[in-house]
Formats: sequence, structure tokens, C-alpha cells
Amino acid sequence: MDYEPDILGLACNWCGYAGADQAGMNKLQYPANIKLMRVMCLGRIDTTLVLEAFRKKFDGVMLVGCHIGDCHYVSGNKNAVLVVERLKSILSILGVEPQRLRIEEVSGGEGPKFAVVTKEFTAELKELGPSPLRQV
Amino acid sequence: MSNKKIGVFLCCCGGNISQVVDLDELKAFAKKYPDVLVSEYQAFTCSADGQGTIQEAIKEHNLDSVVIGCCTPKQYEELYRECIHDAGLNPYLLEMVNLREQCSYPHHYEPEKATKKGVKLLEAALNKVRLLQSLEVKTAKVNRDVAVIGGGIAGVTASLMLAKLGHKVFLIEKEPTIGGNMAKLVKTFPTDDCAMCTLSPKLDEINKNKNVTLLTYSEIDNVQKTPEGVRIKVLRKSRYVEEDKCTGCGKCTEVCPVDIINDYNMGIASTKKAAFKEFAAAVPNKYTISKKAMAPCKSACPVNQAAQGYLALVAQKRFEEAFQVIYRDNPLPTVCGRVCNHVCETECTRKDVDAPLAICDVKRFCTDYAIEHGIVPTVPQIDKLDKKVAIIGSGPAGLGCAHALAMKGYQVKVYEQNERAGGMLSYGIPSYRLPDEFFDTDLGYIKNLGVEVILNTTVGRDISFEDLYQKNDAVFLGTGLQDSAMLPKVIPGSDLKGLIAGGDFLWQVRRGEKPQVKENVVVIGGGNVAIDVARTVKRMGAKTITLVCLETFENMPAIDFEIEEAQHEGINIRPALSTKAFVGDKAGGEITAIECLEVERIDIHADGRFVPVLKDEPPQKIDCQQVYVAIGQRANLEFLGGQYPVELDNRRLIKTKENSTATNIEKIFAGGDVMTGAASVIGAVSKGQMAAEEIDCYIKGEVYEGKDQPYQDLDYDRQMIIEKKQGRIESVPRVKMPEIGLDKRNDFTEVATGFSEEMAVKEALRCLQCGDCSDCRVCEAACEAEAIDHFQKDRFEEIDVGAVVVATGFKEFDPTNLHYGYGKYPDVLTQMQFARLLDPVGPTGGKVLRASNGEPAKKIVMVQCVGSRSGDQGTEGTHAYCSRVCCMVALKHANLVKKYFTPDAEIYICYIDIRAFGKGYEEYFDQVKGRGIKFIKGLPGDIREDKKSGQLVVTVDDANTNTLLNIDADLVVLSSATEPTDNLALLKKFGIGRDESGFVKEFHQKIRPTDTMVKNVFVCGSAQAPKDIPDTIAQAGSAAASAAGYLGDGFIVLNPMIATVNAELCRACGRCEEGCEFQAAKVNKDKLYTEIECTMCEGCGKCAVLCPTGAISVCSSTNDQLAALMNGLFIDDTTKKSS
Repeated sequence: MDYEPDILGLACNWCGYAGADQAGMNKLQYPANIKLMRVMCLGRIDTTLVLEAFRKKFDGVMLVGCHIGDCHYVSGNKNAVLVVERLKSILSILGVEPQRLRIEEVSGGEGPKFAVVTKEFTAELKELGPSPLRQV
Repeated sequence: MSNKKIGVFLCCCGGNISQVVDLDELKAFAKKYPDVLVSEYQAFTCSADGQGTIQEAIKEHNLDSVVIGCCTPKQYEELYRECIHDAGLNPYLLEMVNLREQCSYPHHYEPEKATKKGVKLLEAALNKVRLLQSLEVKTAKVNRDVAVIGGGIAGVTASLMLAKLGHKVFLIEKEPTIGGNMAKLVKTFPTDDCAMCTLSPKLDEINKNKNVTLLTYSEIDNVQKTPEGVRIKVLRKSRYVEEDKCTGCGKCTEVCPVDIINDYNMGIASTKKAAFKEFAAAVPNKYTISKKAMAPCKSACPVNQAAQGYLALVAQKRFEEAFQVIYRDNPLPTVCGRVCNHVCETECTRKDVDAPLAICDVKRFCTDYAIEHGIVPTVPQIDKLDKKVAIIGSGPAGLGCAHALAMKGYQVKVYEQNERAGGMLSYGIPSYRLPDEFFDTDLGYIKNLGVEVILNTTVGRDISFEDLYQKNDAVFLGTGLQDSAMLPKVIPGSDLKGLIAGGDFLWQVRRGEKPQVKENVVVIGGGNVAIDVARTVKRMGAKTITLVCLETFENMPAIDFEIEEAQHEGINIRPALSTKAFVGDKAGGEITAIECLEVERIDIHADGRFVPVLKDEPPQKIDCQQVYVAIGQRANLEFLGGQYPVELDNRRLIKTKENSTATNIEKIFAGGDVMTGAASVIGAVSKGQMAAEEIDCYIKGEVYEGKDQPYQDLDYDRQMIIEKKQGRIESVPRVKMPEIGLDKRNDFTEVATGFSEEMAVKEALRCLQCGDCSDCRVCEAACEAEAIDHFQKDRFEEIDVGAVVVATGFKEFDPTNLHYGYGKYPDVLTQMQFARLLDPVGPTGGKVLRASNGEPAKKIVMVQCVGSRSGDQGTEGTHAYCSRVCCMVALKHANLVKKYFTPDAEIYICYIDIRAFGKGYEEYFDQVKGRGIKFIKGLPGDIREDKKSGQLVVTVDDANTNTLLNIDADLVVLSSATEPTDNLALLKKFGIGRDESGFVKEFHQKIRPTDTMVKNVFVCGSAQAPKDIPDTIAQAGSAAASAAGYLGDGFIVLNPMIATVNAELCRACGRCEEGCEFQAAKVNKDKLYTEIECTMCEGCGKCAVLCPTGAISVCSSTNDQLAALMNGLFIDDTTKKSS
């Protein structure tokens, strides 16, 4: 059976979202599984929102933001890295594979990278199968 | 449930969207969504038509929120906000769906999936738009002033443009002059017009424009955001010349004796004076004095003699000025020229190269010269004060104090118990080292200042201390150490005849008495007095002289050269011996020998006493007829009486306050040996001078804050100066002080005979000029405008601006690590260096000369793309990018050499491609080709020097002819890459970054090349990317216009999507304040909750995440709104569960 993972993308306005736009502009094709939500900065992403996404039964969540050192707001992405680390341990406790949560550095000019990591992540989630929380 | 009235407007984008995404399905979905009153799609929502439709629908249906599904919000969000605003709706009641870049484009071949995703994106937007609230758009005042960083052609152009637009501009430049790299170029392509001729009118305009404040020799220390822009803390480096007084006349340069390396010429061997101006048309037209750290000689000297200063003057045969420089710091120059322990030489940097300079001997030469030529110290006008100071003791401490006080106008009387003044100088140091007449010379200078020396007057006997104390405003005790210490009486044989106190003996000899000296004598002691005794008894007839001391030879406290002299005169030194007993012919009879034990080590006890540990061996016996004991001097303070209990330390010396000469009793100060114990002459003078400063402050009721130094950096890095001057220091032997022969040393004739003029000059020329400025201060006198201030300190200035233009320019890549022999062969240069050679007012006067032999260069090979276009980034620091200007620079320089300098020169240009891309550039290339320049396609594989001929040999494979060439070259010129300046720290202060090449990262390379990620920081010129002058000027204009556009009329529209605080929930923990990068969140300590400064908040939302109580939210990005958005995105497809 064809299983299509449902993926939430959380993208910062300046890099991740712009990178995705650039991938689109260049007509780079990637799976439609990912649906991006735009925030000004990944520093806005807190644990509650991501946990809520998993509770909503998303199969994977990917944060895409600026390269470390390039954050439009200086340190928001660094904070996001900390949040992701914390979340991964929480997910483990919940019995959710931590690799269902990713953070990627994609600059506004890195459309191809956005397409590549999205394909990769989608494929990886297909391997993993549906989120264990879907059974609950 | 709210009663919303939502309108949904979808865009076909001329098929870009609608050919993939089924808009009918989306439209239908929206129709079914609660509260949606309008749902439709159009060909182009962004068109005037499309926008009109939206506006009509808003009015017709009284819509209160709008969802638009079209291209990315990053493109037209602002446009649609304005569109709905014009229809009467709050602009922030809009949500957009990215149906093109993130749906139809990337899922072009999967229309079904794209449609399904489109529906979810739309649902998410609808979820969120229902929760959106109106936001108030505020404006804020902004400071209209602008800071421009970097005074090259980019910064200068931007400054002038902004000034013309009515902005006040602060132009900040780290060098002493503006002009940057352009000022160093001789001519500019493609017109070959002179760089300075085009640049200097602009520099001049900067100077004259009232809107421009020029801050040269300044660096940015700190940047702080403020509600109206930024506050920049600028470090104004000290020029040591007051800018507002300097007239640019150049007299300081004329008199300056110090030549320093001229960095301006990019390493082409050339010098400038320590008081300098970079080039004739420098702006501002002000001089600068280059001061490194205080030179080690000066810093080591207790009175901080400007040794480098008088050496520099002696090197130029300016002996009289040198003498005056010496006298400025040292009131006993003639004495010190002879007997100083010269720690300056111990610390001299040159000791690490060959041998330290004979600084003391040069000083002596200057004083000899002064005596010979009747030169006396120049004394400034002194205003006499009605204050009196009594000084007890006329040794170096007393005279040092007396001199310094007299220079301040005090009435000073010096009381001396002996018939001659000078203390140890007259009664301790033997006259073969310091003949009386030379002390008298110095004393004469001091007396000329009005100092009264009262001889033959013992305080406490001839005049009471009480009397002095009462009748003077302060008393200085400089009584020195008058009594000789003797060995403890417990030593067997201490009652024998022939046991003599060394200090007293010297005293007697100096008084002209003739104490009887036997043939075979022993001197006990390892200090200067012991050596003096040994050398004195030698002159008085002793034949066999043995000096025994406790210390090892290395640790003897006497001055090294005095020990050497003593040995030279035949004195037998036996170190590490302790006296066990004196042996006589009978009890109480004549001494015949001493018995000594060898010392194993010396322990220092907690109370400071030295206790020798002796070896357990039989004693050694030394036969002798007399023993002179010179194991130290003691203070005699009986004169104080009981009424003034001056506190003493455990050595029975006067105890003063820490780092002070003040005693425990008011009005009484002390210095010299009586306070420090036996020390040097110059050490005693320094304490006397310090006391004078403290007395002055005490009398005036001020606080003494230590000696002010004419240098700011007192920590000297010896290695640095040697490295910097590497290759420029030739080993030259130290000039030796001439002395009288050993055969003539049987009376008290002075041993050292002094330097000749030639010797002094030769020695002075060895000085490495460690401090750059030598502190001779001859410029001070030469400057009629009184602009020079050697004691000036760096200071900070704060400026408030609304915008910043970064124009930090470029530097040339250093090709040392590449295989072109740069740094190894002197005839391999870079293009910037070559430009300096071609400059008619440059280091060679515009002659193309070889650095190796000074001959004109006839055969020149230029190598392109050195450090540029290197493919994989990073090898030896090279760059992947093209530096853009080098082809044209090489063509220009080749052209100039042929046209103006050496028409018959043979010039080769080794290139990969010639890029003549600008207006008139290709034509210029054609013109240069016509001059017979040979173009070789290929870069050299090797550049080496032919050892025999000294010619460079360039091996290059010419791809045009497919031949391997070996070209003999006089000069190789490398077209070295353009790279960013070391501005990383600076950029970070403004919150902007670098791109992967290291240049300033612009907002958008194509459409916003002069904006940065920070809204009020702009960039232009080579700081952004390598570029030539025309492009730089164009970009400077763009940056200026962008800054002016941003600042507008002084009000900017604020982003309303910022953080807000629920005061009820906030517990003022301060995490938001700590985490905020923009200083926007501040805990109000009175109200105990955080307040957000709306002019500074950037709306990133970090604080909302850091907040532990949920008190902080972000407008249009609240937790609820984000959750609603997310909920919409989930595809609730139950079929998937079964997998």
C-alpha cells in the first residue's frame, strides 16, 4: 500500500521559506507531502507547537531556517536548535522516533538544498512508516 | 463562534497556478468553510483589475478579513495589505496562501497532490484569518543623522551625497587621513587621469561641508540600538597633536629626529618621520605622532629618561638638543653619564639582536659636549611661589627633590652636614669614577634655579628639626645611609687591629685624608661599596687585594661593569665565602689572616633577613694585613629627636606609605636610600622627584595620582619590534668606552675618557627606535600653534545616528604563501606596491627601480589572478571569485610604464583571460596592445632567482603558442586579489554578516545590493564585493539614497507585528531581556513586568519562547493563531492508518 507521510514544515521568513520559494521558482520538484508554515524566525518555535503537531498525528516535522551565524535576528536559530534537542528527548520518551523531527539550514539562495532535504526527509519517513501516535 | 465575514480570492496567475491546481475545488472548499461570504478566482489578483475586484467585494459584502491565494507572500504581501487598507480594512487582517512557489511550481507533474495540498494550505489560512486582529500602524521618530564607516572613495562619495540631501554625516575613518586605497593609486583607468586630482577635490569638500563631521584616526568601539537608531561609541585614537590647533605647517616633521617605516607605501622600503602626515593633500590637514609602547630603555629608567630621544638627536649630530632632552628628565646628567647603573641598557631591545646600546656613554658624551661648548640647561620661565620646603641631605634624592620643587617655583633650602654637597656622590663614589668637578657642574645647574644649599650644618645639632618643621611647608628627608655596618662582634678576632669600615674609609679618602693602606688586604662585601673600596685601596698602594662575599659571582649586587673593571685591575674575587674568624698574631694584636667557610646557599627568612647555609668543610685561610668590611650601610636618624616619631621598618629605614614618599607624619616626606635601602643614584633621584610631586600636591591640597606618561601603552613587546624590522637590522658592534691604561691607574685620575663625536654618533645610530616617537619633544618647541600634546590620551565619543553606511573597502591579498617568490625575492611586488613605485611623489620619486640593487627595471613580468579565481576556495587563503579590477590595473600599469617611464621596457602579462568589461575598457585594452606589450596565456609555474645574475627567471607555458618560456625579469608584479578588510568584528557590532567570500552580505545581490539584513545599515563599494572606482561611486550613491529613503523626513513606519506582554502573567524574571538581541524587552523594575520598546522590537518571537509563563505573545503570530494554522495543514486521511 502506498503510504504518504504527512509532513509539517516550519520555515523562517528570511531563509527557509525563501529557500522553498526559490526551489519553486526554479521548478525543482519535491514531494507534496510537506506543507510549510511561515514564521518570522525559528526562534518563535516552542516545544508546545511541535508536540501539538505530533499529537495532531503529523508523521514528521521539519524546521528550516538560516545557517547558524546568519540568523536575521542574530540568535533565533541557535535557540531553535536547543528546542529541537529538547524535543527529541521528549519524543523518545513518548515512543516517537526522534528522526521524525529535523532541523535544516537552508538559506534564501539554497532552493536546490530545500528540494533535496525535503525529498530525503519524505523518503526517510516512508521508511519509518506512519507515526506511532497515529495508532493511539 | 465569531461572526466573521471572510473573502477568499484566488489567482490563476495566467495559468501558472490554475493549470496545476484545481482552483474550482479550492473555491468550492472555501465556499463551504464557515463565515466565508465570497470565494472566487481571477486571472491576476495582483493586476489593477484583480485588486479592484477585491476592494469592491470588501465594500459590497462588508468583509472583515481576506485570504488571497496566489504567489509567495514575500512578493506581494505588502501590495495586498495596501490594497485592502485602501478599501477600508485594517491591513493586518490578511492571510496569504502560497499557491505558486510552494504548490503549483514544485508539484507541477502531480496536479492532484498539488490540489490536495492547496486545499490544506487554504484551510490553514482560513483557520488563522479568523483569529487575526487589527493592528495599529505606528510611526516613530528616527534620527536623521548618518554614520559612514570608511573614508575611501565609497565612504567619501556616500557622505557627500547624504550631506547634500540634508543629513548630518559622521564620517569615521581608522587612519589619520581619509582617501583610502584610491589615494595610493597613481592614475586610474581607463582615462589615465591622476587619482589624487580626481580624489582630492572630494576630500576637500568633505573638509568644508558643514554637514559632515570628520572623525579620523577613529574606530568603532561599541554599537547600541536606541529607539531612534543606534548609538555608536567611537574610539578617538590620540594623534598627540590637537586637531583644532594644528595648522598643518609641518614644522614638527622638520625637526623630528625619528625615522619610522612608512606603511603608506605598502611595504616598499621607505621611511617617514614619527611626526607625519600621510600625503600632501591629506584630509584633515593635520599631523599625527606615531607612538608605540614606551620604549624599554625609557620604561626601565627610574626617572624615565627619554633615552631613545637623545640617541635619535645625537645620531643627527644635534648634540645641544640632546643635552636638553637629557636634562628635562634628569637633574644630574653629568653625574649619571658617569656613574649610572643604566638599567636602560639591561632592557635595550638591541640586546636580542647583537649588544645593547651604550646609552650611558652617549649621555656622558652629551654632557661633556655641553661643558666643552658652554651649554647650560634651558630653563622655562618659573613663577615663584610663596611656599618653602626644607630638604635634609644633598645626595641624589635631596637634589632630585630640590630641583623638581624649584622648577615648580618653590623656595628650597638643602641642609648638608658636610663641607661638600652630594652625599655619596662626593664621599662614597671614588673620584676615579666621578671627579668632583662633574658633580659641581650639575650642582651649579640646580643652584641656578635658586636652590640654596647650606653646608656644614647638621640638623639636630646646628639647627633643630623642630625649627625646620615649623618654618617650612614641607620637609624632605634624603639623608641616605651614612653609617657603615660591621660584622657581628661574636666573630672571633673582632677586636684585632686592622679591621676597617669600608664606607668610612672611602669617606676619609674623599675628604683628602690619607689613611694607611697595607700591601695585602681583604675586602668583605659584594656590593658597589666593596668594589669601590677594593679599587681605591689598589690606588693607595695595596698589592694583593682579595674580595670575599657571601653571594655567588652571578648574584653579586655590584654593577656588572664595575666588577669587570675590578677584575681587570687585578682584584681577586672569591665569591660564596662567609667569614668565620679573624686571625691575629696575638689577642688584640695585628690581623694576619681571615678564615672563611664556603656558602652552600642563602636562605631568605620570613623577616627578610639573609641567612647563609655553610658547607661542612674545613675553613679556608686568606692571609692579609688589613680587612675592609663593606657589607652595607645603615641609616642614622638621630637628628629627628623624639618629637617626630617617623615610622621605621624592620631594616631601620624610614617607612613610607605604599607607592608614596609620604611618611606617617604630616608634612614629612622621605626618599632615596634612607627609605629604599642602598640603591642606585638614579633610583634616589626618582624618589626625590616623586616626593616633589607629592609635596606639590600636598601643599596645593590635591591628590597625587602617579606620574603621567607620554605613552599610553606601557607594556612593550620586544619581539614585535625585532620582527617588524626583520631584515632591516644589520649587526653593528657596540662602541667601547675608551679608558686609561692599567699602568696609569695608580692615582685617582678618571678611568673612562669619554666618546668622541664620531663614536657617539656611530653608537646612537644603532638605536632601533622602539617607541616610534622617541619622546624627545623637540616638536613641542617647534610647534608655534602649541598643538602638540605628548600626554594626550585616547578618548571615546558617542554619536547618535539613524542609519549607517558601511564602506570599509578592501585590502590586497598577501601572496607570500603562493609559489611566486613574494616575500622571498625583493623584486617580486604586488600591483599596489607597483603603484607606489609609479607615483612621482612616492618612495622612488616615480622611478621604476629594483629593490634588490636600485637599478632601473627594464623587463617586467606581470602575473594575473594571483589569489583570485583559484577554484577550490581556501588553498593558502586564495579566493574563488574574480577580483574584477586586476586585469585593468595590469593594463594600466603596463601602459603607464611604456608611456611615461621606460618606453623601451619589455612587459609581459601572464593571464588566464583578460576581462575588460567596463565602459571604454575594451578600447583601453586595444590601446595597450598597440604598445607592444606581450600577452602570455598561462600563469607561471615557477619564479626563481638566478643566483649569479640576480635576475628573476619566470617559467611559464604559453598556451597561445604552446611553448615553454623562461623569461629573465628585473621585476615581477603580482596582480594580487582584492579581499575584504578585517572588519568581521565591526560587522557583528551592527548585526550584519559576511557572505561566503567574506564581503558584507547584502539584502539581495541583484535588487537590493546596498541594503543589508539590518534595516538601517547600508553597504557600498569594495566592502560589498570587489569593484572598480566608477562602480564604487555608483554604489555609494545608491547606498546614500537608500539611507536617505529609509530616514525620510525623520519618521519611519513601525512594524506592528511585534511582541506584547500580558502584565498579569509576567513575573519579571528577565529571561526575555537577557535573550533579546535588540534590547527591546526591558523589565520595568518598578512595575515588575516586562515592557517592549516598539521602535526596537523586530518581531522575531524569541522572547515568547523564552517566557516561562506565556506572558509574551507576538501580534499576528500568537500561539492560538499558529496552532490554528497548523491544524489546517494536517491531512486527516483515515485510510493511511491501515498501512
